[in-house]
Amino acid sequence: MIDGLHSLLFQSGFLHMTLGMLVMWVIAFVLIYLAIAKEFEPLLLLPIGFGILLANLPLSDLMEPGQGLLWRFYHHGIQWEVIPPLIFLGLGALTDFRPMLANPRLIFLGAAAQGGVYVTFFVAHAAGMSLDQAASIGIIGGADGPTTIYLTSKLAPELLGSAAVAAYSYMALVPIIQPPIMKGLTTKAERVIRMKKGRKPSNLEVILFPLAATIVVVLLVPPAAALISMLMLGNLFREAKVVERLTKASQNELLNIVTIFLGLPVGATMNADTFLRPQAISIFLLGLVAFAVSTACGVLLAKGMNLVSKDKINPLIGAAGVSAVPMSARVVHKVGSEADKKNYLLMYAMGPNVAGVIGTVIAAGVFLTLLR
Amino acid sequence: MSEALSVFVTGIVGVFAGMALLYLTVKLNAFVAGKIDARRAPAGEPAPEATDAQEDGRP
Repeated sequence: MIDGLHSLLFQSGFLHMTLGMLVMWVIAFVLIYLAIAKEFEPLLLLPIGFGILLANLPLSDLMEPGQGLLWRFYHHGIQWEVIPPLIFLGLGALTDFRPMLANPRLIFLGAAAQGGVYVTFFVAHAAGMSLDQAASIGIIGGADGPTTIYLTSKLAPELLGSAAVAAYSYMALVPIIQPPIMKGLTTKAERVIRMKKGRKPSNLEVILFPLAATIVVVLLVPPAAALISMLMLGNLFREAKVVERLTKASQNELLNIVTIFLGLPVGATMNADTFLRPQAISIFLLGLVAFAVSTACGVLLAKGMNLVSKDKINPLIGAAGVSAVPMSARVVHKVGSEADKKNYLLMYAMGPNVAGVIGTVIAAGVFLTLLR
Repeated sequence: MSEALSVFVTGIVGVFAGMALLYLTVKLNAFVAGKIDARRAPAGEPAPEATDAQEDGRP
């Protein structure tokens, strides 16, 4: 009996705990706290936090290659590139491209906001990261979680957990990070600019757009086909208005289910051995740089466009070129209404916001084309 | 480092080129949709345009 108890004790996890695991528990609890108490991106940070906790319970083997439950989620969902495109299907079914179609020049603000992606890529490589790792860190600046996960899982899977947590954390912190940059780069006179109302796209136009955009983007950057095709298919479901069940399933059940299977294994990639390195801190700092530079690039391009355009753009909407939909558009509206209460910028900001989603996918496709 | 610089420049140019292509696609799309709508509309009536209700997904 003594031998049995002895064996039970030595095969339990208690004697295999390490200090690193305890540190990871703290990180897991902080993320879970932020998700529940502060509602910071709870749909992702809650399962990610729980995944971190599970990955740092000794002897559980949940991430054991070929055996563990979470490893199977990770392998078949993320390594097989299934889950991020399915998330995009749901996002497409939720996205209204009309603000962008109504004012197509705002597309360029979605392009400018990818500036932070490439600036950070260059800085990260100069700081000693490999090209693949630098690309995975740079893409955080696009503020698009699924694209960050998709690109990182292909180029630098060892950074997956850190890059995903950084991306979703900064997306949650949009209301804190963006306003000082937006205010610092604009004058009061610019913030009160009222934009001319765009035209109303016809129903046929919004149905044709996902078809045309899929053809153009896939021809341009074939490695981005999985993401852009699912995004546009979801949008076609929505706009065609003849497959209500598929639209609702994409927007709700499917999106919710794949969100669970995305968050858990991403969190589970963050075990103490791979995460508790100076590199993780670099990723968070560089991710912040990427996000800030992307915001600044969008605002600066909007100011530049005003120099040559008759119809002025409120430069604040440039900040919405990062693809944190609809959070950054809401932040633009809030900062704009602080300067002029009656200036309703939300719908204008949604144009660069949805363009930014496509821009980040193209940026990821360009990285994959050049680096793989 | 030169490879990183090459990716940096190609990347920025590639994204702007891609988005410029998207811009042209949106413009062409609007033109084609406008022509089709105009052809479908009965003579003497303007081409149909989405109403607020339709845009909200309401019948």
